[in-house]
Formats: sequence, C-alpha cells, structure tokens
Amino acid sequence: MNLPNIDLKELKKQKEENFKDRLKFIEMYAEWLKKSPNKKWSSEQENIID
Amino acid sequence: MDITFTNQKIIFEKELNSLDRFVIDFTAVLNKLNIKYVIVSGYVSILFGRNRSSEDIDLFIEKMQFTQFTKLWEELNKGFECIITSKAEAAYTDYLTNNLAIRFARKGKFIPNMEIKFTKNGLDEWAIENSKEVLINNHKLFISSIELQIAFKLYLGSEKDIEDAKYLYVLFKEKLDNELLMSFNRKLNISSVFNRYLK
Repeated sequence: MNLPNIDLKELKKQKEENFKDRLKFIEMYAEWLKKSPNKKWSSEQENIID
Repeated sequence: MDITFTNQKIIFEKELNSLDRFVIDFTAVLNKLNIKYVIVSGYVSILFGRNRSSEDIDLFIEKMQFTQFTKLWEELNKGFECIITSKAEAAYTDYLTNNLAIRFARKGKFIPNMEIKFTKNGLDEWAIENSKEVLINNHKLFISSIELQIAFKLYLGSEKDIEDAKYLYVLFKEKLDNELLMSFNRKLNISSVFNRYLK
C-alpha cells in the first residue's frame, strides 16, 4: 500500500494550532461556567462523567 | 458559579457525579481518622467543573507508623479494597515506604481508584501543610492549593495537564495569590509555559 506524503513540520504546526484552539474553548467554557448556576453546569458535567 | 472562596476554605454546592461521590466517600474515612492528606490530581479541575473523567485520583497522605496505617487499612476495607495487594503489611512495607503507590477502588470495582502515596519531598509536604479545605455539599475534603496545582500541571506539561491548568487559572484568576503562583512558576521553571498558554 502506498502511504501519503507526510510533512511533519506542517503536522506539528497543525497540532499546536489544534491545541491552542482547545485552550481557547476551555477559556470560553470556564467563563461561561463562572456566570452559570452551579446546578446547571454540574448537571451537564454529571451527564458527561456518568 | 456560586462559590465562597477564602484563604481558608472553598465552599460550594453542585450536582454530584460518580467521581465526586467516590472521592467524598473515600476522604470521609481519612477525615474520620484525622489523617492529613491532599488531593493533587486532575480531579481538582474536575471537582470545579472541568468536563472530563479520570480513571484515578492522586492523593498524598502524611507518613505514619504501621499501627496507624493498619487502622486506616481496616477502615478503608469496609467499603473499598486495595487492588494492588490484599495484605496491609505488603502495602505498607513493599509499597508506601518505598515511595510506591497503592490503589483503592470500591469493593468489586477497578475504576475509579484512589492512588495513595506517602509524601516524599518538600513539595509534597508543602502541599499537605498548605492544602485548601473544600466543603462540597457539606462534605469536607482537602485539595492542593490552586496556585501550586496550576504551576505543577504546567510542569507536568502534557496537553491534558496544560488544559487543566488553563481551566483552573481562568476560573479562579481573580481570587488567586498571584505572587505565590509566580513564585511556583519560577521555582518549577515554567514561567515561559505559563506566559505562552495561560496569559
């Protein structure tokens, strides 16, 4: 089977960009949580964990 | 987020998930026996709303003699079991006093489990001495100071760890002791990581 060309520098750059995107989302989520009632965010957390 | 955050305590209420209940039930045993401990893992960010689960929770306990450890072992074995060894002496002698962890899960289960170690260095001891009391739905437990938790997560440096650090920093930045946080950043040599990802 022929493998595709892989540009490792490009992949590394994409990985870093994805990571920064996730950090931006975490920041948005934390800011939302700060403004939300505890019952609301913790019910959503319970759905994910359980 | 409705939370009371003082120098001594963090007080809040939430809908408890299964990980919360596991931690509360386990630390209730430590509280009952007046054993000093501190929770240091990713659970600290999960406790405050981070949306991920974990197979285990990391906890340091104060060093103790075997007689005291036996009391802890007997009490824990009422609702939990050690998944590493079934013998108290092996747990103490082969693992804990050799700076190796033992793990406890609920009886018949494997995850989640509580990974327990004795404190082994100045940083672990500082974490216990300066732990933060949390009252969650009136249940008491002790976590690492948020400043140390953030800095140490950055030191560990995996993407998941940096995400946990970011989450705690954004959530609590107005309430943190910034001088303490910066001091830990310098001591752990991660100021550049902090500036790159958290600022």
